[in-house]
Amino acid sequence: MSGKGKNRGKRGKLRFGSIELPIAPMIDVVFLLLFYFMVSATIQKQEVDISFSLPGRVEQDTPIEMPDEQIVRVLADGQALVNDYAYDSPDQPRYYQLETMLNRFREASESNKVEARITIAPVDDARHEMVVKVMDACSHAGIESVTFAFGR
Amino acid sequence: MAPMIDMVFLLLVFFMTVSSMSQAGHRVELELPESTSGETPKDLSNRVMLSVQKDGTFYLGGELVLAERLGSRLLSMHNQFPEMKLRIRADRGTAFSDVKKAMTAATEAGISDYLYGTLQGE
Repeated sequence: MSGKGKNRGKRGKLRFGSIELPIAPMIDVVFLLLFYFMVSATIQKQEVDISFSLPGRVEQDTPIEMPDEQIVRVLADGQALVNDYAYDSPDQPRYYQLETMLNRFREASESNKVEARITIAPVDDARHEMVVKVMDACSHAGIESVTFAFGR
Repeated sequence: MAPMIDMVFLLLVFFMTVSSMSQAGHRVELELPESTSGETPKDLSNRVMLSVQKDGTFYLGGELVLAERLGSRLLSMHNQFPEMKLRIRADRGTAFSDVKKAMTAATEAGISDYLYGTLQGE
C-alpha cells in the first residue's frame, strides 16, 4: 500500500509498468467511507443498565423490620398514581412532580430511621417505557429500594 | 502521501470493525426505552440477556424461546450459574404483562438480580 517498488507518476497516479492507476478518486472514496463509519459509530446511543432485585425463593424464619413503603401504580396510559393521586402528565419526558414527592417521602423515612421502599405496581397493559420512567423518578429521588408487585 | 493513505486505511478498517462489533451482541431488533438514571455497566460477568419484543416474543441470548419453556430454561441456567443476573431488554412498547411473565418465570427459577437494559437518555 505504501507504494514500495512501484513508480509514482505525476498528479497522484501509481504506475504499474504501462498501466496507470489514478489514486485520487480512490482516496476520495476511502475518506467518504471513513467519515461514514466515524459518524455512524458516534451517533449510536450507549446502552445502560438499571439494576433491581426481586425476592426469589427465600425461606424467611426470622421476622424482618418492615421499611416505609409507598406503592406507585402505573396505569395503561402511563399515568403514575400514589394513593390514588395522579402525578405528572404521562407525555412528560421526566416525572418531576413524582420525583419531588418521592424525595420528601425518602427524607421523612430517613428522619424516622427506616428505609424508604417503593413498590411499583403497573397494570398489565402499562408500557415498559412508562415503568422505566417511574424507576428513573425513584432513582433521582435517591430511593434505592425499589421492587415490583404483581399478582397472577 | 503514502503514509497518509496507510493511516486512512487503518482508521477505516478500525471503524468498520468497531461498528460491526458493537452490533454483534444485539441481534434482536428492539427500540429500547430511554433512561436518565441508568449506569454504564462495569461488571459484565454472570449476565444472561433476555430480549422481549413488542409482541411478547422472548429471546434468550439470540435464541427464540417459547413463553411456556422460558421457566425451565432459566431454571437450568440458574442451576448451572447460581450467580447469574438476568438482563431484561424489552422494547419500549412491550406490555408490562409480558415483562411480568419473564420476571415471574425468573423468580420461580430462583433468580433475584435483575437489570433493565435501556438507552442513555439526556
